[in-house]
Amino acid sequence: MDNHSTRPPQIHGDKNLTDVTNDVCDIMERKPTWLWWLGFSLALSALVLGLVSVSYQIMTGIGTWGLNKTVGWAFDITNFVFWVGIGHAGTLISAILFLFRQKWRTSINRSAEAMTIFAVICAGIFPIIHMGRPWLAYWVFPYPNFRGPLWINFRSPLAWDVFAIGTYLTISAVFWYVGMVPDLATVRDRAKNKIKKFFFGILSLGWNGSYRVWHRYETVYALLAGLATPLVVSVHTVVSFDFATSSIPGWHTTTFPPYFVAGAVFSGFAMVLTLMIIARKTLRLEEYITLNHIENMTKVIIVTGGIVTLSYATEFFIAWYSGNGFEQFVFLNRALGPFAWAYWIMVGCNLITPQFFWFRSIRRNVVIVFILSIFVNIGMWFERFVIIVTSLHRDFLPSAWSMYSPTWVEIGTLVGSFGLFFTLFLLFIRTMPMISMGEVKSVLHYRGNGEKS
Amino acid sequence: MPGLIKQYYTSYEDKPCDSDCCHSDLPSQEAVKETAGFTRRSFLKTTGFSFAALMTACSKTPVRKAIPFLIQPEEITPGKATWYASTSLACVSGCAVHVKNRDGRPIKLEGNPDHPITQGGLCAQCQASLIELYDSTRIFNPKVDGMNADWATVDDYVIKKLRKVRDEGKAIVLLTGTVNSPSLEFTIQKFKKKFKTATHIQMDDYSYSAILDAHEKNYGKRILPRYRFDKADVVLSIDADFLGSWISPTQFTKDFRKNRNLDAKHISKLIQVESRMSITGAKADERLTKSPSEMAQFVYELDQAIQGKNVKDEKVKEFARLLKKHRGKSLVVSGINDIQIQLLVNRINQKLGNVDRTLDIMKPSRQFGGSDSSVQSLIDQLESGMVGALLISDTNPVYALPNGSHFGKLMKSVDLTISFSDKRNETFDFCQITAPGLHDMESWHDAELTTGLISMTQPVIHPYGENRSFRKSLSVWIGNQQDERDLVRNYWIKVFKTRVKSGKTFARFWNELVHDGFARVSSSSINLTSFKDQSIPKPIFKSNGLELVVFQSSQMGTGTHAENPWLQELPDPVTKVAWDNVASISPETGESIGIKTGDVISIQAGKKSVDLPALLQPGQRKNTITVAMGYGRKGTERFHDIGPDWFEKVPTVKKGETVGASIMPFLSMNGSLSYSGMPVTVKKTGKTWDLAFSQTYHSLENPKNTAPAVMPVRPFVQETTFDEYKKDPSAGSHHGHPVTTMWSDDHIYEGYHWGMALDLSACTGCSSCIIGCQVENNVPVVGKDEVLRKRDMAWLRLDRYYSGDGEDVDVSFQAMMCQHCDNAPCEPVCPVLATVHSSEGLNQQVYNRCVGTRFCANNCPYKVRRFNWFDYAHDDVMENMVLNPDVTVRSRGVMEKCSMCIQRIQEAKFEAKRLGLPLKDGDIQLACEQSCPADAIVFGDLNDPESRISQMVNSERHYHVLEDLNVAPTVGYLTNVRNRDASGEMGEHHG
Repeated sequence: MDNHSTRPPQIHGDKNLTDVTNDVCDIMERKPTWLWWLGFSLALSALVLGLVSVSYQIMTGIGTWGLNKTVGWAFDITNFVFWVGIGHAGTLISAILFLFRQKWRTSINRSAEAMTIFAVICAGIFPIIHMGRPWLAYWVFPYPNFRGPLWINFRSPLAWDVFAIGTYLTISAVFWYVGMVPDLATVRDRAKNKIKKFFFGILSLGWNGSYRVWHRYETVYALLAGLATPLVVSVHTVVSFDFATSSIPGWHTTTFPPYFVAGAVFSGFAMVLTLMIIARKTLRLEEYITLNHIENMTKVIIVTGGIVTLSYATEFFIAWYSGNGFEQFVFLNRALGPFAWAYWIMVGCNLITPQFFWFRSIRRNVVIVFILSIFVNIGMWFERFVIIVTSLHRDFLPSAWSMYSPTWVEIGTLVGSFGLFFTLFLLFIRTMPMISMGEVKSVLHYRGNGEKS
Repeated sequence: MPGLIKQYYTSYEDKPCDSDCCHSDLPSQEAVKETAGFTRRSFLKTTGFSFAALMTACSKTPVRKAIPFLIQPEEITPGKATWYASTSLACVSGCAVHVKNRDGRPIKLEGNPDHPITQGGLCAQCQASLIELYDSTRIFNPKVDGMNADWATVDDYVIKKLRKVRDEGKAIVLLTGTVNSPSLEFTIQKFKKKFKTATHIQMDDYSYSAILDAHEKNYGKRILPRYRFDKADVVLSIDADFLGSWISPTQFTKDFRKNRNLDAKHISKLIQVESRMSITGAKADERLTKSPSEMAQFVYELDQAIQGKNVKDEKVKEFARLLKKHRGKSLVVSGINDIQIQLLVNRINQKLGNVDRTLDIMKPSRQFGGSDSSVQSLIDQLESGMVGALLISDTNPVYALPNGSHFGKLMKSVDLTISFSDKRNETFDFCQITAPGLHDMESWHDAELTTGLISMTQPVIHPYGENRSFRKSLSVWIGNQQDERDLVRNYWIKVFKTRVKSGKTFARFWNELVHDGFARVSSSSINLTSFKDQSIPKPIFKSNGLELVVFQSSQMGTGTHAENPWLQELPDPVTKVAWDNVASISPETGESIGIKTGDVISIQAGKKSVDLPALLQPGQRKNTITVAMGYGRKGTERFHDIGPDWFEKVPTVKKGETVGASIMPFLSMNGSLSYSGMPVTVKKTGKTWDLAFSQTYHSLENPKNTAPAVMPVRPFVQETTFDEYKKDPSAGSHHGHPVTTMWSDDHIYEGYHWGMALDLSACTGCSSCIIGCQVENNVPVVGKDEVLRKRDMAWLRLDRYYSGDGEDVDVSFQAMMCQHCDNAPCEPVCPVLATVHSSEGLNQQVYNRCVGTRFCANNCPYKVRRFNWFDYAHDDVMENMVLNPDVTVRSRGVMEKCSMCIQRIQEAKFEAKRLGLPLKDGDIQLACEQSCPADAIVFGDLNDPESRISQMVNSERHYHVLEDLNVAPTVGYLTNVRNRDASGEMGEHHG
């Protein structure tokens, strides 16, 4: 540790520029470890399970899910909102923290962004496969067509979702890619075989490392960060409109947009933590993803977890304050009805878990943070499940009340979405620089003599 | 029979098989068509024209081969329905119908509004019977010992055998259901003349014998009175579910409704005494629960009280006072098949002066004529080996008798046994010969349902197989080769002079009879003696633990239609269970013996035992257990394969098993068949059974632990008492806070604005509307597993709510379908504009635009939208013939829901346009509205201030469900008014 510094170093282990390049590129240049293979085969198996489930469902019908005439959405939209939410941390880390000059973001932003993209891909699958006739999914896009022409219904929150998710995926992908260009050039320059050189040569867009290129690059990056920033708020706001604009008690709630955004960041950071803790351990990146990083992220979790808690309380307060019996019933039914178990899992995971992070010793205990981050993930999945299923299963007319339980096809699809996510992520760490070398180099600690340490 | 052939085909589809089955050895058939473009709206107007057309259609050219229309018959316009009046014999009471034919196929039955008995109402069983016409498992060939044979062989064999039996002096027994067809009676008479040892025994699958026997004792003739619920101001019904299944429920509902007109500020009072919860009990103004043994006591005491003697029971006194107050305008009926009770009931009605006022014995009903003692004597005869031939038509003794299997064994020893059923029922198994009969839609038939009123059944399609009617078979065997039509027609020619005294020519009489579906004729007066009182011993009160009550459910009846998928999937109106019969027990008794709903219990009596799932039934008398008959029927094994096929599918029935279990062995037969009061014991089996409830939460009260203080009861069913109503017609209908809006009204309906109103006071819960909707709109049957998964497809459901505690329970019904909201929540949420609002106020679902996001269904506060979870089976080509070609068959993955029969609206509008006439109120009748025997459903134009719907909407009783939501539904409800004191002891349970 350096005595001259006023702030603790972002990167530990006395790295110099070459060390950073070597360390990061080594992950993709060396042969994969048995751990990687294990993870990859597990992820791929899950993905295959998901593919089988989805194929069966599309061939046979939505009836292969446990839905019914009262509960029209359950695992499908729960998974959709869950995965969209996961994505949010990536954008927040890469865009908002960039604008706020939070230097600690540099070692995690690349992976977090990758996570965003993969999560949005996972999320995007669900609105398509949840349709009764997914082969007509393209009907939700507004374009001149031969069906009348038939325009879409711009009043439908589902149509807004199409734009929100589409925009989100596009901007995230562009932002991620542009941010990666200098590193891709580094990989190109180190490449020993021709194919790889050619491939990365194309991807790095002729990067030559000149002052001029760096200047342009940084301008573009800042602009894209500015462009991505509103998405952090807007995407989940729009997703929450799926519920907030409806007529069903428990959905029809004006607090949903901020509540959903906070929840998304909350779950996103938990997912980043889960992934990063695994990655730093298995890929030996402890010096890049330090305890400080982990601690910072847990702090974000405390804040967003607090907002989520406040939202839960607000819902109950408003239900009581409104004097609306239907509204009151829905919330009592959440806490005490047949799905109370799901509600209390949600409360346990989302309210209680973050409270542990008030303690520094826990924040810096990797194992405990890892376990708690998984709890937050579970809790946030259940939050969406509770909102969707408990509001639907007992709404206005008692004659229509019903229960819901998933079938194996739905469980297979959920597992498959994790399979897809991890497959993509594991491929990513083997093929792309998973830590932003260029940015990490800029936060290496400087010695007094002007040499980087 | 060549030379006699006189066949008509109605279309090529009617003869789907090629020339093989179109041979000239077919029984000659003729489907005379009433031909004018008949629509209900111009019924009278076109009558005259129809006659002319009818005459021209009666061409005599023989048709030997079915070919597609080479020359289009003038009267058939492709795409346009033709209508024929007929009578459905599916429910034994005989609903008068109009049959809608499209391109030669009957596709829908509707009540015949001109018929004096059913008055336009149509029961669920008759509606649903249509699909049995297209049942590919029917028997289409005569059979000898189970092998297909041709008629010539069968006829030869049977005639020889019959002669032999006659010559041996052994009895030939015709065992039939009630025969009220004059022409069939005539044929039977002739048969008896030819075969001197022949006797005719009538047996009903559900026996009303005691009523007839009691009348024989009291009035000297075995008659079934015609009950006039329209004339009774006070009805005391002792275990007679006359609105649901007793004798003639459709007719009784129509009649009962007439005296419940709230606008007249005078409604009848219905007191129901029963042990189970029937739909009549649900409708009752006052309801008393009694076990069967208590009921005998009750009737005895009531009789005592009516005679002015002192009785202990306060309730009995009160009822007696009320009945006496309405002397001559009251009616006491009992559904208990026990002669002592029926004698008491007769005495009470006689004392109250009701005879010839509220019950007609001079022109009695002829709907049921079966006799238990005759059946008993038949069994004795069979046992003594005296019977040489047994011909069984229209009844199923092996199933319906308590010792049915014994009866079957006895049949084995009879030389000649013939079944006339076209279904492979229990009795069919024991018959050597099968001479399969016709479906009502294929046959000529006449029925005298009440004395002096002939209902006509005419064929509307050529028989698919080689079947011929019972009448025809009997005629052939006595050497009469007349065709089906002439067998009926010639009878009427014969009796024309004596029975028809209107001065009409026969041709005119006949044409009117066929055209109208009914005609009044004179009947020989029946000589009744004056009332002969019988001494009736005081019933010995036996409190012997659990008592069994066997009943007919309104959907399954006696089980004749157990193979009908529509009826099997129609949930019982009270229990809401489809695809099963259950053992209903009161919650109190259930708890005391430690059973819950869904536990399988073993009901035992002596050596008999049956396993049935239990159901704790609110409103049930303690220490009673009730089970519906009509289940466990052979032929229901076919439902193993019903429903969508996927890996988690649970078959509706296991391979080789039946739907439900038969309770018939538990009936007791001492003199008369007893359906209630049999002592049974119950054992837990430890097993459980999945019951397919179409509704799983049964109250408008919130569950206790989650009830918000501001809304303990949901205000969807709004009720009041008649006293309150008289003071304030708006009593009970709570309107929410007036909803203000900042938006201008952008839904302005300048032409029509369709709306519907449902009168909860009128609705009895009979569920006929559900089947009507299903048939009209091609709603698929999905099977038990899908119902269990809450994925039934009914567009129209009947919500049933309980209120009150213990046995003192009120039942409220509320038909629920798409409310066609003006501010429909489903519309804005669809991303692809698949559900949109019409300029006439309808919420329309566009199937081919739908991608199936289900957001609309989630956002529907009434949860009336139905999603096509699978591709529902339509591979039975034959059953597909019942589909309504005006309504799209929906594919997998699209949403559907009540369309307010948009096809009917369009048809009526086009017709009005074609005729250049304005559309009148009532021109459009929706399928549910049409079949409602209680006239509870009214559809019409809200923009027309004169329409019935506008008047209903303006009624003080009118309210909307979920008014506060500002979805502005166009379907509204009128409060349920029960005729009980405001301080009624039953109390008010609904807020």
